[in-house]
Amino acid sequence: MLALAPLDEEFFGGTIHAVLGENGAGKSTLMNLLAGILPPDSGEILVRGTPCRLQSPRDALGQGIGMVHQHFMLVPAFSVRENLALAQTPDRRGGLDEAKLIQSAVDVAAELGWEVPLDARTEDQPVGVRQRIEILKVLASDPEIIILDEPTAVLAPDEVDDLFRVLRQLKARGKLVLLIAHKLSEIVAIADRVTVLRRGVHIATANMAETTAEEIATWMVGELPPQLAGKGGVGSGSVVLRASGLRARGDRGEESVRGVDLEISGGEIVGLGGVDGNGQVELAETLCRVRPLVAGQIESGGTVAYVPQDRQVDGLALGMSIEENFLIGGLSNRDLVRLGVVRPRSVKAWARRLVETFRIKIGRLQDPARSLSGGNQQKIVVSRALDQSPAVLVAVNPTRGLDFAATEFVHSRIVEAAERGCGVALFSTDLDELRQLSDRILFMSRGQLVEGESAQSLLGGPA
Amino acid sequence: MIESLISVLLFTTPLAIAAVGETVNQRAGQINIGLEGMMLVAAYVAAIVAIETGSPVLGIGAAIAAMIPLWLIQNFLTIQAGRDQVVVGTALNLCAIGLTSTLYQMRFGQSGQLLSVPQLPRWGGIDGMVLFGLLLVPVLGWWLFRSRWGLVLRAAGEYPDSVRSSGFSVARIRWEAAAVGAVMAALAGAHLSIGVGGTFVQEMTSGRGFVAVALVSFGRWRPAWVLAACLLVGGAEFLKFYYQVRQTALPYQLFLALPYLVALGVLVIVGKNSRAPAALAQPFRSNQ
Repeated sequence: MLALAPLDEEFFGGTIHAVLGENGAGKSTLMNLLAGILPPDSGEILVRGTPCRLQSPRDALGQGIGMVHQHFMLVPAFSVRENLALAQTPDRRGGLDEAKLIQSAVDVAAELGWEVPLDARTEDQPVGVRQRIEILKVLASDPEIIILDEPTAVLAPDEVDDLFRVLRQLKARGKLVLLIAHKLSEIVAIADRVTVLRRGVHIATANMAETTAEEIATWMVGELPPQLAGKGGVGSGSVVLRASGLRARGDRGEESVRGVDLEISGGEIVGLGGVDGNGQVELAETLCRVRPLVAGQIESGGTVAYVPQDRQVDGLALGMSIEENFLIGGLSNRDLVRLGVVRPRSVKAWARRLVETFRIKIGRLQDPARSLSGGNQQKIVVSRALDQSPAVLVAVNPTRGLDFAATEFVHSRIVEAAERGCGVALFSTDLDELRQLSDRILFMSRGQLVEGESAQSLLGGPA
Repeated sequence: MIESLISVLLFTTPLAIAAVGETVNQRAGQINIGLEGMMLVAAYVAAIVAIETGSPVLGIGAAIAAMIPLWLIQNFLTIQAGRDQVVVGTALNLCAIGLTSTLYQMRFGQSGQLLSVPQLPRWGGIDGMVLFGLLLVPVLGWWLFRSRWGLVLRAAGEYPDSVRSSGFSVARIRWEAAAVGAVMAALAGAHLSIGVGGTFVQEMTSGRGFVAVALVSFGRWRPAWVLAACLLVGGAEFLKFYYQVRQTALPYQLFLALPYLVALGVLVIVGKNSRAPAALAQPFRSNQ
C-alpha cells in the first residue's frame, strides 16, 4: 500500500511546523523519511538546498536532523547516563568515558532547567522524564532540525506546557521544530505553520495566522456534508445496549469519558465520529467491559463482541497460530471447548469454515498470525467477533490500513450483522465510512457525545 | 587438601571459560544452546591435531579454526535468517555428537582404546589455560561494562532498536559476540581433551556445555559472578568425592547441597536487581 503519495513541502528554520492528520494519514512515514529511517521509493530531500541521501538515522544526524521517537529509543535496564552515552558514542573503540560522552547532553539539560537523575535506572523514571532523556539525546548533538513524533501523547498537561516552553526556546534559536500530532487543540497553541495529510495525501499547508482551527479540522477529516444525519434507519425497536452516565479514565488516569448516555437498538448501526483522542477508544473499551467504569451503568441484551482499534496489539496474539487466534473468540462455544478441554478436531473444522466463509487468505492454520497481511489479520478479528452472533458489536476503526477490497468486505459483514438484528457501535475517524454505514451519527468531543452538525463539534481537545 | 583444590581449579576451567564466553553472547541477546556441541567438536579436533603434530598448542589453534564453519552456519541461521536460537543450537548439538562419534569410530574403531594426547605443560598442577581463564574474567568484565564496545553490545541484548537508532548494526554486534563465544567454546573444549583429560572419549563434554549456559543465568550475566558460580559447582563436585572417600557423621548430601544453598541466599539478597537481557533469544529484523 502507498503510505505517502508524492508530496512537495518546504520547511523553514526558526519555525514550529506541525504535521497533522488522523492515524494512518502518513505523518510518521513523512517524518521517517526525513529522519533517515525509511528510504523513499522516489523523490529527493534537500537540506539547506543540497540534495542528500539519508540512509540511516546517523546520516540524518550528520545533516543536523534529529528525531524524538514516540516509542522511546531508550534501553530500559540502562542507567540514564548509559542511555545518553549510547546515543553519543561515535564508535565502538576504546574505553567508556561516559562523563565526556554525555557532557553536551548535561549542558543542554542545565540550559533547559531540567533535573535529570543520571544514575537512576531508566525504566524506573516516569514517562515525562524518559521523554526528556530522549529529547536530550537528540539535542546533545545540536541539530538544526528537530522532529518530534506525537510528543504530547504521553504527557500530563503541565508536562506539555514545559515541553512547549522548550520548543519555543529552540525556535528562538533559529531551529526548525517539526511536530507530528493528531490532537488539533494542542497544536493551535504552539505551531507557526501546519501541514495536513489525509490518507497519505497532502491536503494543505498554511500559516497558523492565516487559518482557523475549524478549517484545519475540515482538512483533517474531510469536507463535512450538509446532512450528517445518517441513513435514518430505526432498527428493530428493542434496545440491545443501554449505557447511562458513563465515566471512565484513560491510561494516564485522566478523565476521558465524561458522562456518556447511549442507546442502541437491535439492527441499528450507530456511527461515532470525532477527531482522535477525544475518548473514543476509552468509551469503546468501557462498553466492552475491558476498561473499568468510574460511574454509570451498562445493560446489554446478550454478548458484546469487540473489534479493537489496534489489531496487532489488542486483537491478535501475533506469535500464536491462526487457529489459536480464532479460538480466542470461541472459548465460550460449547462445541469447541467442553469442560475446559479444547476439542482440537472441532476447532480445526470450525476455523476452516470461518476461513472459507470469510475468504481469508492463509497458508496453514498453524502458521503464526504474524505471517498474514493486515487485511487478512483484520478478517480474523472481524469474523471471530461476528461468529458468536453477538447482540452488540463494538468496532473501532475496523478498516484502518486496509485496502479497498478488504474494506468492502468488513463493511458488508457489519451490515449483515445489523440485518441479523445486531446493534452496532461503529467508532470511526473516517467520515465516509460513517456516512455509508450508519443509521445515525454522533460525535465524541472531550469525552462527551454531541450531535454532529458543525465542524466545531469535531474539534475536541485534550481528552 | 591444597592439591585437591588445585585440581578443582583445573577441572572447573573448561566450564568457566565456556560460561564466561557465553555471558558475552547472552549479553548481546543470543543464547547458544549449541555450546555443548561446539565444545565437543573442539575437544575432538584439538585431540586429533595434538596427536598428529605432537603439539598441544597447534591442537588449540585447530580447535579455534574448527569453530569457524559452526559459527558461520549457526549465526547465518539465527542472525541473518532470524531462526529460533534454541532450535538451531539443538540441531548443532546433535550434529556435533554424530560427527565426532562417527569420525572417532572411523579412526579408532569401536574398541574404545584409551587415546594418549600430548598435554599442555603444567606448573604445580595448573596449566596456562587455568591462568587464562582467571585472567579472562576481569578482561571481559571490563570489556562489557567499561568499554564502548560493551555498552553497544549490552544495548543490543536489551533493546536492539536503540542500537540501530544510534547508528550501529545489531547484526554485526551479534556476529562479534557469537565469535567471542565460539572462541571461548573452542578453548574450553580443547582444554577438556588436551588440558584436563589427556585423552578424547566420545561425548566427553557430558553436559558441561549445558551447565555453562545455565550458570550464565545463575551468575546473573556478570563474568565475575559466573566464574564464582562455576567454582561453586566445581567445588560441589569436589566435596562429593571428598566425603565419599572419608566417611563422616554428617550425611554427604548436606555438603553437596551447601554451595547451592549459599548461592541461593546470595542471589536472593544481591540478585534482585539483575535479570536476563530483555531481548535474549529474540531475532532482530531491521526492516521494521
